[in-house]
Amino acid sequence: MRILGISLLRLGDLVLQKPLIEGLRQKYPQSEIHLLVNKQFSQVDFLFAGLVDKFIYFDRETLQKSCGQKEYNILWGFQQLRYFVEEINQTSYDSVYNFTHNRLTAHLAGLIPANRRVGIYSQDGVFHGLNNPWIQFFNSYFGRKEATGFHYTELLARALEIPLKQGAIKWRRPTGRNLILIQPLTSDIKKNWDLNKYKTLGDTLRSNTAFEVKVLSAAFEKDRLAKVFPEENLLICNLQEATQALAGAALLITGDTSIKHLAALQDIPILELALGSSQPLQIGAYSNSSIILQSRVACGPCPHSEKCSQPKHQCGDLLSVSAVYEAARVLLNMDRPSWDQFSQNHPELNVLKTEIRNIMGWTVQCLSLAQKNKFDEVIQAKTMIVEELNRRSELSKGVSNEQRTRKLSDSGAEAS
Amino acid sequence: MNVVSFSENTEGYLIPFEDGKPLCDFANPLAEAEEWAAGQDFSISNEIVVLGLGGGFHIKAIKEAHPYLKIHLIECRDQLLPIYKKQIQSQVDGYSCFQNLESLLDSEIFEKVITKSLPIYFMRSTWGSQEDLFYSLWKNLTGRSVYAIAKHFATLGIEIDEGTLTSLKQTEKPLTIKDATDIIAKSNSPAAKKNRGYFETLKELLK
Repeated sequence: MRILGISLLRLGDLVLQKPLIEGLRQKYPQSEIHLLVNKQFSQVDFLFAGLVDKFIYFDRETLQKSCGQKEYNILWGFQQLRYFVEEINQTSYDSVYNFTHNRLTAHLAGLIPANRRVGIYSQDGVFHGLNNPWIQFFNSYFGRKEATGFHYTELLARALEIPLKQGAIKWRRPTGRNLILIQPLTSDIKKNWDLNKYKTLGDTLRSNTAFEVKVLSAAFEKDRLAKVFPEENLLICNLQEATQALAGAALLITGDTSIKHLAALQDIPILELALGSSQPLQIGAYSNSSIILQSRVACGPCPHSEKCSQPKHQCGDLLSVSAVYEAARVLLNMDRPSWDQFSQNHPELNVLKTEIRNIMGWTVQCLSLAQKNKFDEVIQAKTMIVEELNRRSELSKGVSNEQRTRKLSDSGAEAS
Repeated sequence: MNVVSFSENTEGYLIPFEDGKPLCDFANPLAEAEEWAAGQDFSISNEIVVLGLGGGFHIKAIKEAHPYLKIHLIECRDQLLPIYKKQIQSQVDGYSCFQNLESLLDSEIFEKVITKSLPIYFMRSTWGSQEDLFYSLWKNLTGRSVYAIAKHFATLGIEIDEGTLTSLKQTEKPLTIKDATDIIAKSNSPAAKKNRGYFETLKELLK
């Protein structure tokens, strides 16, 4: 059996989809799995070693340029895309899984013949593959408050009927590791905590603990970070080297980043500073427990891809170095894990913990008693939705296999 | 056509003028051409079209940076080529001179450019007073005119329906991939149905 997976979103999404590829491999152990990804992410092949047999790279950037730049013939992109698809179609696929729930990949999936298509695809301009109640829910609500409490990874897994290893990831206290990694920069300025605060945090951890503290930096971030951090504290690395560094880390302190999801895959304790448009209740670490500190501000979480609406970065300002330092100490087993006490000391914060449970799947628990009811409501709502969607799934199995069509949002559901 | 004249600059190069305006930088045409060439993406194809000769310094700059490139030159003023041959001497692989759009549309080079989707480059100052004609040549050579796209689509077996054709002819703007997708979506020909997915995919890339 030969399967083609299509994953044409960003790096973070690709990392978040790894458990799905694992699930697919588990479901079809003898199959040959090919994965179509954006060419710019060719460096993440290592993450899927043993899971994916062949990568196919989509040159999105060049095609995009060809559609807009004045020197290109209007049909150059069409010709290139046709050659590309014809080359893919040299291989015959039994199944095509569209992991990227958007129009672009729906059209692309429709160009690849297969006995079975899972996820959305288009034919003659009409979208198909939305017949599963879970994919309907994902299509309509992911990224909106109705889907609060559902993780991107699990929702996509249910939508595509791929089993996830629920509860398989065990929380381990770090032992014998003496490295704390900090990933200060995110892809969105609103999600960034002040670099000087990170610097003070690193210095405090170095002075008061035996841990070594390193700041992760991609090569292109180096100049910016070197203005704040001494060069010897920077760990300038590519994604593969960052993954190796994470494997030996006792703790990762980060904003909402791809590195967070990489750490989750490796079962590394994570302290996430959820600022700006970070949506920890949908795209927190898919991990069996990361701790999330979220400033309680009226404007947060703010909308994605929009500038901060406030005169000052309120959520970042409200999160103090001392709060992050105290939380790090608890995660490092240096202080008794009394999160309720911590929450009482920091009423300005939501203190959340991720968990993967056998029946409920991924959940976010509130560790602050004062806020617990609000978050319990999220879990209750999730329980009801899960029951209802499972009931509908059962019903739809018995009725017909009619494929429903539906309007897709422009961007589709994306994690980051 | 207006009269083209030449003036010698301090470096001894003859610089072409049209309506009193130079068709390249008078003082330092080589530096201007090198800067222009450095800003272009020549990775699209090893065969290209340059639209507008001017003083020809930009052709020299392309040839020096990318000697393997096969260059077809398209001009509308015959007076420029002899001087170019004397003072620049960079070989071009083809030269065509069209004084109106119709002669371009009847030409072999047009067929070739459309069939091979060759990229079109130009340095705007070389267009001089012939901006409107060059713009229309560019629109057709890049497939952005109704005539050119209809020709393109005919090679694919795609017919444009009458209504679409009429409404497209009313627009002066260069066509985009979105227009091409709309044409495909409205066409009833089997070839349009077969190729629609490609165009819809490209249209999404524009968002």
